[in-house]
Amino acid sequence: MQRWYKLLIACGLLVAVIIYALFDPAESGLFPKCPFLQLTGLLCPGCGSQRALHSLLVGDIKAAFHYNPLATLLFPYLILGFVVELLLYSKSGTSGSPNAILLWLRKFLFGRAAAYIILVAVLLFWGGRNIL
Amino acid sequence: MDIICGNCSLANPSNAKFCKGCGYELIPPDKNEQSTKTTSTKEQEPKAEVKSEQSATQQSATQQSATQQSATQQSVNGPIDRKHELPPKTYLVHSILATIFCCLPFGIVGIVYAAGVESAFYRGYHDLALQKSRRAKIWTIVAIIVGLIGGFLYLLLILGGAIASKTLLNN
Repeated sequence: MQRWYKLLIACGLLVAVIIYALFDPAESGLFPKCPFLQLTGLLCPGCGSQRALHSLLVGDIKAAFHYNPLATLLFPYLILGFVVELLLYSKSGTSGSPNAILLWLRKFLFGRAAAYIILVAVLLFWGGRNIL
Repeated sequence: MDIICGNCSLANPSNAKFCKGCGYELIPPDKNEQSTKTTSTKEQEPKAEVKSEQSATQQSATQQSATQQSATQQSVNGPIDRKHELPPKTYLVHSILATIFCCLPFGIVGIVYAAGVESAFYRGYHDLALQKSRRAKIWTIVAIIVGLIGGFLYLLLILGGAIASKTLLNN
C-alpha cells in the first residue's frame, strides 16, 4: 500500500473518532440508522454500536455496554488486532522471520478458532437480543 | 497420488490442473509440507514412537490423510513447519468492523473467509490460503464501499430534507 493511501485512512479514522466523540448518535440525526432495523423492526448485532462508540469515547463504559455489549467488548479487541496487523505486515517482506510474540498473538487471538468463536457470538447475540 | 480439490474435496488424478467435479483450480499441496520426516535430533527422542506410527500409516494412507498427518506431525515437532512464517492477511478485524458497523452480510462472509485463510495456511495449502485472503479482501472492500455510499446517501437525504423543510418554513 502506498504511503499517501495510509495517510488518508489515518486522517479518515481520526476525523471519524472526533465526530463520534463530539456528537451523540442518540441525539443527533446526522448518523445513519440501521437499515435492517428499519426494514424488519428487529435489532441487528450492530445496532447501538455507534452510540456505544460515542459512550466509550466520552468514557461512559456502562452506557456503552447498555447500547451494545458485543461491540463494547469487541472495540478493544479490534484495536489490538489492528496494531498487531500493522506491526506484523508493515515489517515483513524485507526482514526474515516475524516477531514470535506477535505471530502467537495473531494466531491465537485472531486465528481460525477466534474467527469461529466471534461468528458464533455474533449469531447468538443477534438471536438473543431479539428474543430476550 | 490424488489431488484433493480445495473447493469440493473430490479426488482428482495427480496430473489434473482443474477439478473434474467443480472446475476449481487445483493446487498441489506444498512439497515442503509433505516431507516433514526430516530429522531433528533434539525433538525426536520423546516423540519417536508417535513418529514411527505416523510414518507407518502415512505410507498406506491417501494423499489427503497424508497431508493431515504431516500437518499434525508438524504441529507436534515438525522442523519445516510454517509456524514461524507469516500467514496471508485474513482481514478478520475489518470483517468484524463491517459486521458491527454497517454491512452485516459482507462482514459475516468475511469472517468465514478469514477462518478459511487460517485453516488452509496451517494445513499447508499456501496458495489456497492466498486465494482465500484475496477473496476476504474483496469482501472487505465491498463492505467499505457499500458502507461509504450508504452513509453518503443518508447524509444527502438528511441535508436535503433539512434544506427542503427550511425553504418550506420560509415560504
